[in-house]
Formats: sequence, C-alpha cells, structure tokens
Amino acid sequence: MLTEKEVLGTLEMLRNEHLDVRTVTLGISLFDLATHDSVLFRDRLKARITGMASSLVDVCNEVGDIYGIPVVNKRISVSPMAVVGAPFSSRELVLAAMALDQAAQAVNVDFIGGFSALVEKGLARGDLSLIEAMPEALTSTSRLCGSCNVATTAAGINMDAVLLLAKTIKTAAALTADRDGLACAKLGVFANIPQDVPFMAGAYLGVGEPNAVINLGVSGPGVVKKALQRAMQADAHLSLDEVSQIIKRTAFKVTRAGELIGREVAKRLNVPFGVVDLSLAPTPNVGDSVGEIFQVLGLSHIGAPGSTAALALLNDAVKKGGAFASSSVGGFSGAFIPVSEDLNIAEAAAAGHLTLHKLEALTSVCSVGLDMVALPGDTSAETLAGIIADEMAIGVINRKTTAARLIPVPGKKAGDKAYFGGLLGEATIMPVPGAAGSEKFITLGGRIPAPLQSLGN
Amino acid sequence: MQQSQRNHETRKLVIAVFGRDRPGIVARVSGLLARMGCNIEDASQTLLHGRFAGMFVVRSMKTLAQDHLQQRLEKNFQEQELIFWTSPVEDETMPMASVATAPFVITTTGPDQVGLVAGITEILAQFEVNITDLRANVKTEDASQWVMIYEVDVPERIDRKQFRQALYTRAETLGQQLSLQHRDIFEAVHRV
Repeated sequence: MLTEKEVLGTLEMLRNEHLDVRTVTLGISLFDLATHDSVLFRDRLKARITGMASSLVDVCNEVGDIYGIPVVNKRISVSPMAVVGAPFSSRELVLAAMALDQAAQAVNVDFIGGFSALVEKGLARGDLSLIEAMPEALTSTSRLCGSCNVATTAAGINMDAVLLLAKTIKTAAALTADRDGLACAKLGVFANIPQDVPFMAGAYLGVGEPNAVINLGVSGPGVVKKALQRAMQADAHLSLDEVSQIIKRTAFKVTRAGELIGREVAKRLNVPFGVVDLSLAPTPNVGDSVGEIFQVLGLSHIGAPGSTAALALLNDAVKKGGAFASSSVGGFSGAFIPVSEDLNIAEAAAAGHLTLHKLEALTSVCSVGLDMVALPGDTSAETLAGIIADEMAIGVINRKTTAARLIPVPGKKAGDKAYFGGLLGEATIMPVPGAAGSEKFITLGGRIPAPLQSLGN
Repeated sequence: MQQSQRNHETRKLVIAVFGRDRPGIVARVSGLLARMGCNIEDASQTLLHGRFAGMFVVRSMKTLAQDHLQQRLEKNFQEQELIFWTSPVEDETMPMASVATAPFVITTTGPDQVGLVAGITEILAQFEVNITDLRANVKTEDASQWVMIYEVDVPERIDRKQFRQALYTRAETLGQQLSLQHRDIFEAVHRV
C-alpha cells in the first residue's frame, strides 16, 4: 500500500512543478556503415536510422502515458560524422547532413546530434571536411546538431581548432542572418565532451559505446524550486546545509523517475540502457527555470554577488542526490544555465545583472558553459576564439566538461533582442567587454599543453 | 444451505471483526484464538471515523466447528458490541490469481459529490479492474478539493487506451481531474 504522501507528492511534482523527462535520446552507432561511396553512405544512413528509430517516438509516448510522466523530447545521437564520413569532401558531408535530417524527420524526432568532430590534439582530414561543411549543413537542415571537441584535460587546448571553430561560427551566423544566426544555436564547442550526452547540441555517440543505447536527460528545475519554496515557507531560517539536503532529496526523486522511464523505453526497444544525465535543464517557461532557484535562495537575480557560491551548492547537491538514485549516471550531469533557454536568466541578462564575465565565472562550478549566449554581430572571430579558449581552459584545468554555444547575431548590437524560437528561446545580446584585444594572442596558434592535472597515472 | 455452511468443520478460517474502536480489541481476539489453539497466519486492520475493522486468517491445530468459534467470539465480546463474521477457507487459490494484471494507481481530485465513487468504480467494474486499496477524504492543503486514491490491478488483456479514455471521460462528467499511473513510479520516486 502506498502512503498518501507518496501518491500526492508525485502528483504535485507532475501537475504543478513541471516534472518531466526532458529527453530520451537513442544512440545509434554508424561505424559499420563506412564506405567511400557517398550515395551508398547516405542510403545506409537513412536506412539505419529509420530502421532503428521507427518506433522511438511511439514507445516514449506510450511509456510516458503509463507512468504519467511526459517525455518531452525524443532525439537521436549518432557516431561522430567526421570519423564515419572521413573519406568525404565537405560537399558530400553537407549531403550526409541532409540525409541525417531527412531520417530524423521521417522518424519524427526533435533533433539528431553527431555532426561532430573530436580535434583536441589535431585536425584529421575528415575533421577539416566536417568543420568546413558545418555552416551549410546547419543552415540547410532543421533538426541536425553539431559539436566539436577542441580540448581535453589529457590533451590540452587545440588553439588552431578554437580559431577555426570561431570562424565557422561567424560563417554559420552569416548564412542564417535572416534568422538571427540560428545555425550557431545548433553548434557547441567543447572541452572534455562526454561520449553519452543525451542533450543537444552536444549529443553524439562515442567510440566506446554499443551499437545502440538509450540515454536519458532529466529536467526538474521547477521541482527543485518548489521544494525549496515549501521548505522556506515552513522554516524562514533554513540554513544552507538544509537547503543542500532538500535539493539532494529532490534530485533523487527526479532521477529515479527518469531512470524508470529510460529503462522501460530501452526494454521495449530491445536496446541497452546507458545513462541518466542529471542535468537541471530549464525551458523558456515560468516555473521551469534554473534562474528562479537563485531567487528562492535569496539572491535578487542570477548574477548578483553570491551567485557562483549558490550555483556551486546547487550543482553539487544535484549530483549527490542523483548519484545515490542511480548507478548509471553520465552525460553532463550538472545544472545548465543557457541564457536564451531560461526565461529568468534571459531577463537577468537583459537587465544587465548578468554579464558575460559573471556567466563565465558561473561556468567554473557547473555544466555546461557559455550556453546560448547572443553576442553582437560584429564580434570578430578572434574575439569569439578568445571567449571559447577561456571557457575551454576552465574545463581543462577543472577536469570537467565546458562548452561554448555562442551566437554572434548578424546586424545586431548589444542590447538588441535575438529570437531563436521554441525551446531555444530568445535573448538580449550581451556586450563583450574588452573586445578586439585578443587577436595577437589567438593568432599565435598551436596547442596549449595538457596541464599537470592530466598526469594522474 | 446457510446452515450447512455455518456448521462447516474446517482447519482454516477468515474472521472479520467490526465495532467501535478502543484499546485491546486485537489483544482479546488474538488471546481467545490462542486459547482455542488457532494460529494467526495473516491479519489486517483499519480504522475509519473511530470504527475498527479487522480481518484475521487463522489455522487451527485440530478440526474446528465454524459455529462453535463464532459463538465463542460473540459470547466473549458481548459487552463490547463487536460484530463477528467467519468464513471457511477451502480453496487456497485466490479467484483473481489466474489473471495477469499490472498494478496502477488512480487518483481523482475535485469537489465532493454524491455518486463520485459509484461513477469511477462503474468504469473499473466494466473493465474487470479490481480495487486493492481505496482511500477517500485524503487531506490536502485546499479543503474544497476532495482527493481519492484507488490502487487497482488492471488486467493485461484489456485495451488500456480504451480504459484510460473511459476513465478520463467519466472524470470529466464528474468534474474531477483524474490520473492513471503505473504503481512503480510512486515507489521509484519515494522509496530508497
């Protein structure tokens, strides 16, 4: 017999606190499809994806119905295209990108990720073709996401790749100038990218992964916020160690709900279950915001002094609660602070409370990084490269994932609004203090060596 | 027929006890059963508005006349106004055991009204869904909202979509917000 608290507590999370599964992502390996024939390659891609993912959406909806917890997004991640499609020219890779997009549409998933390259130690031929193909690939498709890992703690930072990606971002923005540089919202530049991320734009299926796997991303900022609000109403003098305890308990519940659904989907699709990604992922809706948690904790807004400490507490407590709930934790597993995708964070940025510098500081204690940050359209590639390099350094030195998803919005300046639509939201363009002072350093090129932290053996 | 059943000699019985709640009911019933050489194999009790209802499954060391047991119980508790009901257990298999089912939890939330339970349970009966636990008048912060929790076993063979739809439609006519969820989600979320 269930207790009334167990039943009502779960219902409350669902009805009033935005508890859902943010994404179920089916990883599909493409390594065995490699061929030098690009037409055959595209046919194989489509056949593999439509074959393996044909029932993904239906199964997710069915399982969501049974447990009463909706699976909001259904997605696919594939092996890094720079490896699978290494023999091809950039033109052929654009066609492969379109094939991936068509396959994603055919099986009705929101996004397909894996138009990706891993170049932390150097750029191979396939990597160069893929990066060259990225702007057009992300412009001529609607559901495709790309990523590039340019740094790891073990290898250091490939600064040539950082600059190349910065230029790629500028080109992608120019190609989608009529949509505020939307292509850049589908491109993440990473340090220490995990192989099993279910979230976009970083999702791809790593080389150490099986033929197919289900990875799941939980959500839950609304649930954490409400739990804290309730506790604070009951006790106005709640201390921060008690706050941590409440977040841990809430993260436990959210993770358990997610894992139950992920395992059931995997069972029905007859593929192994991979990981639960414990990230608190916001949406541009009131009540489903990481930014609002800062306010519940007594800060006037995210970005106020104390924000980094608050985020460190939140991120740590989420991981502790989630790690206790599941033995299969992976992906990013941390709190997201994507500017345009979180209504409250977007407002703090618009009001000038949250600056690029503070945002960078915040990313040193959470996943994932400078995420969905709209910048002035005239930001140079070298300045973008400088911002990316700083973010990569935070990841490399702290042995954690960091990323930059930057959108230099063509024709717009600081204070203007950029609109990306849907889950990607909208954002006020942030100024870049000290811009145009990075060129000489960035053009030195080469590799920033791996730090001492890499010598762990 | 009734008489022949009551004179039944058996070793296993279900005893149900009802009455006004007070300390000592279980102690005295179980004490008497022990003195009669009856072992309690299973038991359950509940309280509702100060009334006690308990069920005991007992096995006797020797053959037991159901009549005799019933009389002993009634005689012993005359002054306490307890009502006893006994029934022999002949067939050990449960009637529902052969049907494959999945455990679900139904909740309804909304204003209280006459016919609420009847309205929902009519649908359950139509689909041969068995109720294993039912609670009404569940306390919530909003006093105007009446919450009911049904734990049910849903047969695997029925069309679950039709069942869900029928419940939603009925809940709508009753002005209730209804949810139907597999039981596992509640355990997963709340239990370590």
